[in-house]
Amino acid sequence: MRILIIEDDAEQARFLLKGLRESGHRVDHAANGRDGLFLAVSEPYDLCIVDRMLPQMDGLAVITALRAAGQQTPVIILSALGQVDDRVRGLKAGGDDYIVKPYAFQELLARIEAITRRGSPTVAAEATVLRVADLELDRLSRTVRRGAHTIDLKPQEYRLLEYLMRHAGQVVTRTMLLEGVWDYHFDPQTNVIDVHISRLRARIDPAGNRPLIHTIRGAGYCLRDES
Amino acid sequence: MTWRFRPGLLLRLALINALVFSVGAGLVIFSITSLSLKYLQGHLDESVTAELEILESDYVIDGLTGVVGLIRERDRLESAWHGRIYRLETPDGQVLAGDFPHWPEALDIGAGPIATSAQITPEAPITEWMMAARLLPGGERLLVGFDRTETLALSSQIRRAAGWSIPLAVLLAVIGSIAANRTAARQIRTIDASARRIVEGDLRHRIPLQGSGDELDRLTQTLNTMLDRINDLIAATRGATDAIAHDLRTPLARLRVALEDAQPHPPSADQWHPWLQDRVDDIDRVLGSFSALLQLATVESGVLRTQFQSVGLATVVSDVVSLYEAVAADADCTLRFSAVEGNTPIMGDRHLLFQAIANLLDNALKFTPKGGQIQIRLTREGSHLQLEVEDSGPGIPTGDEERVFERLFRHDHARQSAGFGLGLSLVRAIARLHDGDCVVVPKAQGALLRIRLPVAQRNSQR
Repeated sequence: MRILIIEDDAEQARFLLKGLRESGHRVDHAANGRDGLFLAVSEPYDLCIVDRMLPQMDGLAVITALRAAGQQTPVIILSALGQVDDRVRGLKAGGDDYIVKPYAFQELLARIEAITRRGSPTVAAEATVLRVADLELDRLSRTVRRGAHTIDLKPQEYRLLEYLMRHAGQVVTRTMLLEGVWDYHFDPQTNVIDVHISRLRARIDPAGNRPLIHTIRGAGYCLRDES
Repeated sequence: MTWRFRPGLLLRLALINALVFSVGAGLVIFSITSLSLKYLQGHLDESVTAELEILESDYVIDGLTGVVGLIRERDRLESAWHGRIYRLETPDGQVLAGDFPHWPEALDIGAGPIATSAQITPEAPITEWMMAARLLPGGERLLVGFDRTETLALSSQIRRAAGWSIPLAVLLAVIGSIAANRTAARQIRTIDASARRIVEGDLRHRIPLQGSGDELDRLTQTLNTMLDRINDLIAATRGATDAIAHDLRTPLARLRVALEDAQPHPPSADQWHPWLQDRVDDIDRVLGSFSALLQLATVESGVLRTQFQSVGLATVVSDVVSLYEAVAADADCTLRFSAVEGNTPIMGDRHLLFQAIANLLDNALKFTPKGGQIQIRLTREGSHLQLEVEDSGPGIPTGDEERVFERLFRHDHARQSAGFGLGLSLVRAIARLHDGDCVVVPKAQGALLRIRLPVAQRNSQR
């Protein structure tokens, strides 16, 4: 994927460039808003990562200008301003997602994947049967099977698993789970999500089976087949 | 910087006020005067006409002798030069009755009354009369006059009164307006002086009230309330800054020690990765604490009220309960939720309400021993919804009922457990943001926390 990073802090930009290149992306970097906007309109990027506060041209102004020029490239805003109205302003300006600094790199990767998939209607969003390895979830009959065994899940566990399977292979953060499964934006101070995950894990990864739900330390969880 | 109070605006207002009042008073006096004069004149005219008509009808009934007798009778009752005067003469000018010496030339028979002056007897003074004449059916001419002296005197008195009352009204208007505006000016000067004191750094100073309850007093009250609010915000910010300084220093100091220690004694190769992860966790704790403090400060500032919407509290509570059921089961606690009300809406932010209730459950779960019970009750008490969370833990020691809401207050039991010591502070801040409150209800066994939130007003304008 071709990604453009518009970030004025050299250290953070270097870290992002290195991390994203290691994940197999082609990455360009602009250190101020004006250069960034120029690159964004002249090159065909799949994604822009824009810092909120930039020299010469504010991050939101860059996004507004980009959208005004008819560019629909997905944009992730990085910002140290984390209040609800800051987020709202960022999304209104045309951003597709808003990540508050400091963030775990895994979370950024997760959001990048979520956004770029959102762009192209994937099989996962529409398919009636989701599959990862020998785990199968049928969205019509609301049944879950692991191999030959049918697994009975409570409604909440079912929704959690459905969310994880729709984002199979991606890192999903606790905040994303709360928003996606429980529909609340809040900051759990305790391990409430971990408890739900470990219960779900006990149901779908019983002893003897290859574990499918993985904990990504400092970021969240990922449902994937690691064979 | 010099501040000088210039009374320009108030003086202008006073003069405009005086001008409007004067013009108004002048118009009133003028119209009263002219109406009075018109009435006096009209009254005299009518009297003359009425007298003529009486005599005329007497002529029809009693004939000429009757009229002559009537005139003589009237003359006897009235002195000749004061009151009424008559002249009845034959067509050839012979006087039949009455004292009026000659037939005035200006007088048209049958026309309306006219004013004229005449000397009745050579010794008498010249007097003013209002008179009219008729031709009687037998060809005789009848003249009736009424004395105008009194009417004229009254009219000139009315004119004089009007003449001096208009300037008096103007004078009073000017004096009154200036006096009224001096009161306002004094109060404005008081407000100005107080504001200056506050600008110069005396933040606790408040503008003294005059006690009159007028608009300026109300403005003063509003300004004082605003100052109180600003003071609260400053205090909240200061509290947040202190708390941040205090709460961040400890984990940062720990991190620093670990890093410093790693310089001479770097962790061994197999320890390297977990050691690094521990440091990242240290930093995450600092960041978590930081954002919790910021969130608390934001909630306390009240700015989030602008995005309030109608929220069904029972739905939010049952969502929190369903999220925490698994945690409770893991901790071997029973979680019981009973709602004795039908999802009455309140005005609020569902995410913040969720956070507040989650914090209460977090807290209850933290203190409830294995096998314990947590009860959540939602009831309606008049215009408020009341949510109670009761646990079977050790309870809150007497004397700490208020302290648990302080920032960074941690019960001794809780010192080792997760969280930033801000949970209940945030609950109370969120409840107060919604015009409610959160309190500890004293109890012999276990802890009972109660949130009260006002029910949404119909057609609420929030």
